[in-house]
Amino acid sequence: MNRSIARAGTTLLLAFVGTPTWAVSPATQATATAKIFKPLVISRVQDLNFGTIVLTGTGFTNEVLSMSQAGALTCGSSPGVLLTCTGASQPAKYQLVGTNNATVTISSPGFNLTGPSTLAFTPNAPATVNLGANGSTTGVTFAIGGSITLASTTPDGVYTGTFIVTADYQ
Amino acid sequence: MSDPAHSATINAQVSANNVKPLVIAKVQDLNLGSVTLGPGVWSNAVVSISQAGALSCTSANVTCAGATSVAQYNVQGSKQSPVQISAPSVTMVNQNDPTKTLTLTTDAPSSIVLANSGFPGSNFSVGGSVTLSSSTAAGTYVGTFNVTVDY
Repeated sequence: MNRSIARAGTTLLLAFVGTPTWAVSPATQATATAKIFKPLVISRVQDLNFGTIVLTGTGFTNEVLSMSQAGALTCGSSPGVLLTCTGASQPAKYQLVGTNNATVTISSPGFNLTGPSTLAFTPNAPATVNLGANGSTTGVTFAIGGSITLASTTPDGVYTGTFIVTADYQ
Repeated sequence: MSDPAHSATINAQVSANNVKPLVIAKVQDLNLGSVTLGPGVWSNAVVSISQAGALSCTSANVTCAGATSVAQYNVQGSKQSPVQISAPSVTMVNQNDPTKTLTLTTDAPSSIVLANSGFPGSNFSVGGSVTLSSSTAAGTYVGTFNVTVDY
């Protein structure tokens, strides 16, 4: 009987002491992410110019003179009748240099052109620009067009204003 | 038949620390957000996120933006035994150029005591820091933690 007790005691000892612990890992580990950007530099390349607009018609209002980002000029609803556009025209252009392939948000709020009177200028800028593969060296150039609204009573003269363009990484 | 001449009594103490097996699962990833490097030549700009999720971006040479988060894990096991946590540094690799890396020095608790045994267990967070310089290559850096727990 004592021998039986001895066997039983030995068996219990092995069963409990022989339980090891070990480090446990999750099935999926967390990741760590950081996006690093180089300084973003924006510089003016050229100014926007609508050229010369002749108020040809009489008694009109709300004629929109607009320029696309590509530089295409739309000279009101009846070109040559109410408005006549002549001379060289061009959109504004800016150069962006920063991080390769980064997407940049462009902000270009409206502003006034001042001269003999005041004309509200509404920019037509891209919402975002991708800097592309050469973003950190040559960067990219983007264009901004815009529009003004004219009437036959708009005082003639030279109107100018200054863009307030900013760019930031998305 | 009994054999008194050879009988003997062996007293063996039995101790058992019966614990539930540990289970660990990822809850969320760590994200330091977007960091824009300033101009000029500089070094030793530290960007860190604490275990509580507070971002530190105090160097004048860097600008931090965007959503950030700490890594989080859930552990289930026995509340009687403290759980030891191991969270070694993480090598973060530039996804545009794998030769460029950043080391994330982790900030994790050394151990936790579970609030209960079994479900739902307890969560713990892991923050960390990276050290940047003007020569740090731009790009998205991603690394994987190697967090383990043990009694």
